[in-house]
Amino acid sequence: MIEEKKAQIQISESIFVVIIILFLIILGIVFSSNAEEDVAQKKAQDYLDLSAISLSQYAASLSELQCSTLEVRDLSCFDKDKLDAFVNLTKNHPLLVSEYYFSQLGNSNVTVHQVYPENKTWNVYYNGFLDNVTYEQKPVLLPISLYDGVTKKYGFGVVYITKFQKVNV
Amino acid sequence: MTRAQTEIIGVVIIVVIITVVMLIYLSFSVNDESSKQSMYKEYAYNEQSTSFVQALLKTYVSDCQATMEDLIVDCGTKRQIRCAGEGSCDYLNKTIIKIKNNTLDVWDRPYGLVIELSNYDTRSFIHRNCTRETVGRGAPGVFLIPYFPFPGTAKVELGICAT
Repeated sequence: MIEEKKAQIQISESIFVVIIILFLIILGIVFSSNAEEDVAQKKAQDYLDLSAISLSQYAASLSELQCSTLEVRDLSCFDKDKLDAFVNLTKNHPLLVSEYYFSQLGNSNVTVHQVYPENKTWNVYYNGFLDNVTYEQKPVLLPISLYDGVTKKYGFGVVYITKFQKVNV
Repeated sequence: MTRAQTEIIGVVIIVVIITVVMLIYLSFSVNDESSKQSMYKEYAYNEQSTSFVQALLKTYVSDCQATMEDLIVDCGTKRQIRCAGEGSCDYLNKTIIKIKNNTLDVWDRPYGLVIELSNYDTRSFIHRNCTRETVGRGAPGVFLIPYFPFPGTAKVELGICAT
């Protein structure tokens, strides 16, 4: 009788230990899956950040728009005449521009806005998604000098670069 | 229940408590990591601060027939430039306010733009969410303008405020 009781206690002890171990394993799995999800989300966000950054660097260093003196490029400066010419090109040959710059600018919007002395806007590039596509936007604002080739003076402007990224719903 | 059994149960309870505490700590540390300032923000703020000051100094003010850099130098030294009947210092303030109203204030960044003309003359344009203590703690764009041939240097600094 005593032997039987001892065995019962040992069995319930073993069951208790197994339950505890299972509980710990399940807790570990739940935690690690949540942590992995967080890490994956962060990586996706970092990737979008990086692509927005590289896009802004590319857009800000477009030699088609940058100021230059004797073939030396002036950083953080766009030439207004070059901007006008580029906007005309975009208007006249939208498909050509979209195709040519898509490999670097991708799905994005690049706009230059002069703030001082007077307000003026140049829509440099736009390549968005179709209406039924869900996407998020990552804007980068870059203050820049705007050079007037006629007066040879600089104005104050801002380049608005928005990266569009498809979202899986 | 024997003494040994009680001790085993005690050990198991301690192990469970330690595991739960560790998991809670780890989950908090993962969340803290993701809430840190992203590289995007860091880049954007750094780039904005530097480019803003750079572009601001080059900007030509037609009423004064001078650039903003010239106005700062004149305001810190001779004060001879006249801009539509006003002095260089007044017009410098006016132009900066005009530009920042259309940029920094619209973007709603917690900025602090400080122009140090001398030890005794500092002009500060500070966002409402900033205080003097938090100005310039993050992402500063600093430019020094020498007054040569006069002595001294002006300092123009745009910083995103620490929050």
